[in-house]
Amino acid sequence: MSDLVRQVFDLILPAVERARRLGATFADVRAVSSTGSSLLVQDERAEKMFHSHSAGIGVRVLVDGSWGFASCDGFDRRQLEDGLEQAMALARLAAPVVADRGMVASVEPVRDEVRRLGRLEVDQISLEEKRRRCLEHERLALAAGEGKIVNSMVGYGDAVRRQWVVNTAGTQVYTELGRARLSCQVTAIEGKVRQRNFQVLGHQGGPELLLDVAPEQISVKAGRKVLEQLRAKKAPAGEFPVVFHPTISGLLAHEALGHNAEGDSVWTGQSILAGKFGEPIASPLVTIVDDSTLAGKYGSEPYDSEGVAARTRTIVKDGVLTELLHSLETAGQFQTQPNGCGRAQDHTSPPICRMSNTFFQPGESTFEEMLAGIERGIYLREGHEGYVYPERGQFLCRAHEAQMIEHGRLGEPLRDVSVSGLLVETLMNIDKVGGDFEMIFPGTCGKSGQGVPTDCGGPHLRVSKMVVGGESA
Amino acid sequence: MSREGHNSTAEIERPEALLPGAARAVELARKAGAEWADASVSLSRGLNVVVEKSSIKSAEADWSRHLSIRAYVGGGMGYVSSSGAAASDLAELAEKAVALARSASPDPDFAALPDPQSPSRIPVTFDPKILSLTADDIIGWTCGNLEAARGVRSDAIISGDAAFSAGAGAFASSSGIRIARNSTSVYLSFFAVVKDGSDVGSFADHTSARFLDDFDPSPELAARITRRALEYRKARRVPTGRTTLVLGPRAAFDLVADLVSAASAESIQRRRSLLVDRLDGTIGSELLTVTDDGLIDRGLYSGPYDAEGAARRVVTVFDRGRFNAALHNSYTAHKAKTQNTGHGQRTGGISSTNLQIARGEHSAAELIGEVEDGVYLEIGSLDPDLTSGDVSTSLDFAFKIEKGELAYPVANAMVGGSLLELLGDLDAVSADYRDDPGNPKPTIRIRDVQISSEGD
Repeated sequence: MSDLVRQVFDLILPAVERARRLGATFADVRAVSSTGSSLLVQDERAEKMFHSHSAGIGVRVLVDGSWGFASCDGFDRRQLEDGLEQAMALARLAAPVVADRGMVASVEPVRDEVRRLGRLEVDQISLEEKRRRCLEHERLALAAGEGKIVNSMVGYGDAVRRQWVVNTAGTQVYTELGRARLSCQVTAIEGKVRQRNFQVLGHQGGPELLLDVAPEQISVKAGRKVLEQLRAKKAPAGEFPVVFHPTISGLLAHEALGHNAEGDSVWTGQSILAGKFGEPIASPLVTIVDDSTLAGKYGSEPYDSEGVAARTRTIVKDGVLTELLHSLETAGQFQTQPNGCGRAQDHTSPPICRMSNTFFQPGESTFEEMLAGIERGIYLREGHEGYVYPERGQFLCRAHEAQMIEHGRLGEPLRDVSVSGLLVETLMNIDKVGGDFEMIFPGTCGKSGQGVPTDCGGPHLRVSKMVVGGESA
Repeated sequence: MSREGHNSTAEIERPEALLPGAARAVELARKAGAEWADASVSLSRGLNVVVEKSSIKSAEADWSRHLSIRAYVGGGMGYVSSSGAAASDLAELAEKAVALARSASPDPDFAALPDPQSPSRIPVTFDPKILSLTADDIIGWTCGNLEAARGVRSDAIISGDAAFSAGAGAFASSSGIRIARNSTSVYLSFFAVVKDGSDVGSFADHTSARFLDDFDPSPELAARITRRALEYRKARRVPTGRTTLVLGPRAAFDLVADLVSAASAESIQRRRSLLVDRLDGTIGSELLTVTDDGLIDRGLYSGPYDAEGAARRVVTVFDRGRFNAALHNSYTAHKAKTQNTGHGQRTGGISSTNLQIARGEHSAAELIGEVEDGVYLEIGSLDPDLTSGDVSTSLDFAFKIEKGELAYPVANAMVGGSLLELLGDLDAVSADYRDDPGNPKPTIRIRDVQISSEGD
């Protein structure tokens, strides 16, 4: 254990013991330090270079079934003591009006120290080299755009996050994680049509991402894709069979199911999956997994923000709801074991139930089998964004590009298409699951004002009927 | 609640005490070789009560202190931000910003940081009454609202939060700007879910203000939200087809805010906005007039200066359907050889402030009453792509309009089309409005909109 790691543990461990003496039935303290650098190349200039650093401590206490939380900047003993006193006072103040008493699952203490910085450390590739590679990506995107690109942006960032977690169960976990992300956005014009394409790759690791990514995977791809979008038509409106490419099937897993399976939403009754544990909620072809153990994936973490080890969670197995995403608290409420989903954005927020890397397991269908039998349908590719209202299971998935399916064959290209659906209806309507698989959707998932890194993926999927937000019937 | 010592509320009441730190950061950046530099030091105090499952779940407090330094060399920008840094780190951070600026490409379009200017008026944004609020106050408001929601429907599931915050900031630049300001805010937000078997209704709303006197924490908020959630039960599909779309105050404001985002001079100069080459051209119905005004007293997004220290100006962005003026920061204004409107952000972007939408002559009820067959969208933006103008999104909180009345809630429906076509078909703006401080929100109506739902 390095001197710094030991010093911070020495700073925060007494606060946990003090919380117990003051009457907390549970307490945890998280010290988090993040350092990152990024740069933006735009219109053939490396025009902005960024560096950020944050450090602080979050203190959480459970007193008489009431939670109190306080955060402060920096690693300072006096501020930590002030924060603990304030968290205790707030919990006590609220306790008389807390009807749904807070609790935590009892867990065995964990002591561990894990470093996952990647093959290279952040300064093993110089800023000059990072800049040079980003400029080269932009040059290749412009070349692929055949003179039609009017704006190009390449962004690169890497960061290291150090987190110390201690709690009254005796857990002492230190993690040191690197993440890197490379993106390319191009805007092109042809006549009156203006289109934008955005590609992003990211991993849990170091700046080797810049060495490992081929231009065809990101910048050349963006340049080519935007040209296709210029030629694409708007999608038709109405209900259609929809085939999801692996670059968007993960978004369906994340939005349609994942958020609904978060333990806090289910416990409060705000998920449509409340009361459906052990019941069929999807076609028997469907198995959906959330897995924070996948090496190098953007949503992976060896421990969550509560010091619970990463694991594989099978949310839906052969169409049946089999597991929820739990924090220490929801595991206690559901009288089960925590499964490593208590994640916090940083020291200023308490952990809540979150996804990591969420995906459909592959099946056996071929792409040709999926197209067969579709008289008029939509083939969606390149997921962009989405959201869900868990209480109704109403979700939306937005794609950058799509194609018509007509008489069992791929037809005209389409652009900027969104589809919406209701969770159970949509999952039940999955009638083909492909044998292929991709997971390349590194992003930031938002919930309750907190953003955490996630990824998602899957094989090709076919849904027999969905609403398409198009323009003409 | 008080935490005297390291983080005293006195610092928020006297933001000028932060100025030496900002000025020192600028001085250090200049000493390290920056041709231009500015720095911002801010601190904030917040207290938040979280509601889950119709009960208070937790009470949370935070103090934070933040520093950012921008340095320019040859027009290239280096930006450093830090939370939790010690004062002794200042020189290192300033040197880092300059080193980053040196590694950026030279930019001939960068001329200078803004000069000191006075805005035409100074809006008030700080209410000491909010700074003196306690956790007891917001727990009391929250409990009152939860009880009122239970009175409407005893098994309604309520979540949300209640919070207040206060902040102070100081800004200094190498062009001589020295600014110190403080501000406050308070809000209540609830989300209600009601269930009858598998039939679910839900609704969300909030109230927020910068001044306590403008803030209504009465229990009617959660009661009203719960009543509306009940009205969202028994949602039905609607046929796919073209129809009239009425955007309620929140949905209408979100659409206008999206449109104003497209008026960013940065997006236009970079040619990625749907408004490129449309300045002085018609982009929508002549009923569309929108003014950005960051100088309104007590406005939610008010402030006399932008994040570069430039004085804010009132800008009529759209005037009777014509794209009248873009929003600028110092960089884009110099590049366009025009006046800086004071809408700059620290990292080089542009953002709007309070938006004033010109209102019509008839009430929202009259606008709806004239619709034989249509859809009323209560919450949610149409979320246009601001590059292409394409619209393809879900109508998540919407009612079917039949014979001039809200008939039933709509399930699983979407809207598609083009933003500029939608704006061209805008045929009415209401006289009445939702009164969010500094941002009055009228209802608007758009003819002939493509709705997707049942059938094709």
